[in-house]
Amino acid sequence: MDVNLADYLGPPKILGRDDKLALDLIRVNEPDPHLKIRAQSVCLECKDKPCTVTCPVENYRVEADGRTTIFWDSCIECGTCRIICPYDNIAWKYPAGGFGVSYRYG
Amino acid sequence: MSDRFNVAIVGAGPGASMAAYALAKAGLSVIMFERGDAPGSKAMFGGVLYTPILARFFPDFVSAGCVERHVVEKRFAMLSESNEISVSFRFLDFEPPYFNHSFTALRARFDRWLAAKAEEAGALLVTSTVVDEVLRTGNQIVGVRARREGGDVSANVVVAADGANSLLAKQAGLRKELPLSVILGVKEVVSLPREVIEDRFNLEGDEGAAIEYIGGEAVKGIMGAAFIYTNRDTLSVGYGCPLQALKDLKQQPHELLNHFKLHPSVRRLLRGTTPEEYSAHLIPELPPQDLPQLVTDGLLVIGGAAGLINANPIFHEGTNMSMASGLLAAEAIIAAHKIGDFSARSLRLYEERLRQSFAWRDMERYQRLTRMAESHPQLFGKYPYEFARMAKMLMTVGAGGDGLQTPKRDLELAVLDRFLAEIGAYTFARDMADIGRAML
Repeated sequence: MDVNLADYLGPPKILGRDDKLALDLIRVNEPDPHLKIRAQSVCLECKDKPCTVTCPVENYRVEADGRTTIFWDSCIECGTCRIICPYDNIAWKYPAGGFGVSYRYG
Repeated sequence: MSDRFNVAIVGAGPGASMAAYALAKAGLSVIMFERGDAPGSKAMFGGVLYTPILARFFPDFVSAGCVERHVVEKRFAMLSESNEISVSFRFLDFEPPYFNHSFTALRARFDRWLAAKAEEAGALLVTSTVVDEVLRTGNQIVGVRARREGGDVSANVVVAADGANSLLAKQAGLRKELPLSVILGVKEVVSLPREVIEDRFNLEGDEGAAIEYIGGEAVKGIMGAAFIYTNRDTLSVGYGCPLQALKDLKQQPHELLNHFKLHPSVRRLLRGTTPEEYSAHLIPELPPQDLPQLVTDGLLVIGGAAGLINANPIFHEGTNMSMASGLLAAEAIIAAHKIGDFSARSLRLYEERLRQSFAWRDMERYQRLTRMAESHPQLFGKYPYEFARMAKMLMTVGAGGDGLQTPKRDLELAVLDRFLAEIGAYTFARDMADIGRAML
């Protein structure tokens, strides 16, 4: 292969959250959310909501009514939310076998 | 599938496969469970793989293509907002084929290759299968329950090799929830033609570079380090920071990665790159009180599940420690089968050997350094910025008041003033002494 160095001098491609996720192969097991909030009342009381600033794919959002939503279908299974939640309020299990993220590089 | 095995291994990463290989070679029946569709599909590391153990069992691993490049340059850098100071070590006289036993790698490829070696030796690999719990008879663990129809599998010994999160060790009661000292690793694999990589990073052929950016602007001054590793025709670009530090920083982890990529000194290395994959994984950096119990009746914990990691940015080891623990677990399990005793007392041979090995000794030693670093945030915050600033002051070529040029003596005194005002001789000496003490 002939490579022209000049073709590789532009700025690195920087992606936002959605475009980063679009790179990854994630098989979603529709009927089986593997992450669940145990009690919304606990989230409503939670001041810091550290899940919303530590999930590497920004899967925790606070809705207008104050409820916390999990975008579990774009989870890459790192485990951060389970550990960061000060109230152990996230029921966390692995997705069913063969489902979830499948890294091609890793 | 038979539902009775000598050994059931939960996980199919490097530690699991190493154990499975050694056990199968010794004639034991082994089943290995992988929750992804293939070994490595759920795995992620920096990363550089250290290979003395691998070479002992698979002398042809380099030509097999399971690794990327052999590392000839290790560079350690500190970034301020727009400047960099770094020190580089280039070792060009290590001999092929293993060079310095340091190879960049990608886990999807490597883990699959090593698991296939275990299969060739006779181990049974079952993919797309989650194991959620152990089976017990009284206190003795006697098998595992896979999340599938008829998923109960009996085994004399179970090996928990299920990685950083190790829900199995937790379920079996061997550890509590992970602490906030665990590190979140965030990475992009970006593509770049191999010729461009070699040209840009000053490499020839399959040579590779590993660059660590310690603290400073690379991670916005929090505890942690960022990295660039050269693969064959991709770069691994990422960082690792403790969850506690990320929680306090309150910035989206994926944006912190972008921040690193856009640093003026990093951006130039990443010109023309296109992201191919985004990944994140925990790195089980555990204080002593959070390490799991390694052995119980009928079960051993190995690798990341056992907290075997050397997260010090000078070294960044883990997969090699996993392979060591897998091998030592296999030896203990083989000995246990000879006497037919699968109690903790019999399996404790694993723990004894592990504690004598580099894996445990390095982990313990560098954990002390990590604990010290947790209480010295200036090592990642103030120091990198100040050192870069002082270096710049010293190197700045300025017009002097006499219409000629500033004498060096004036620059040196200005740097000294800055050092005394911003860091302080006493504070600096104390911090260096604290580092020294943690290393003793």
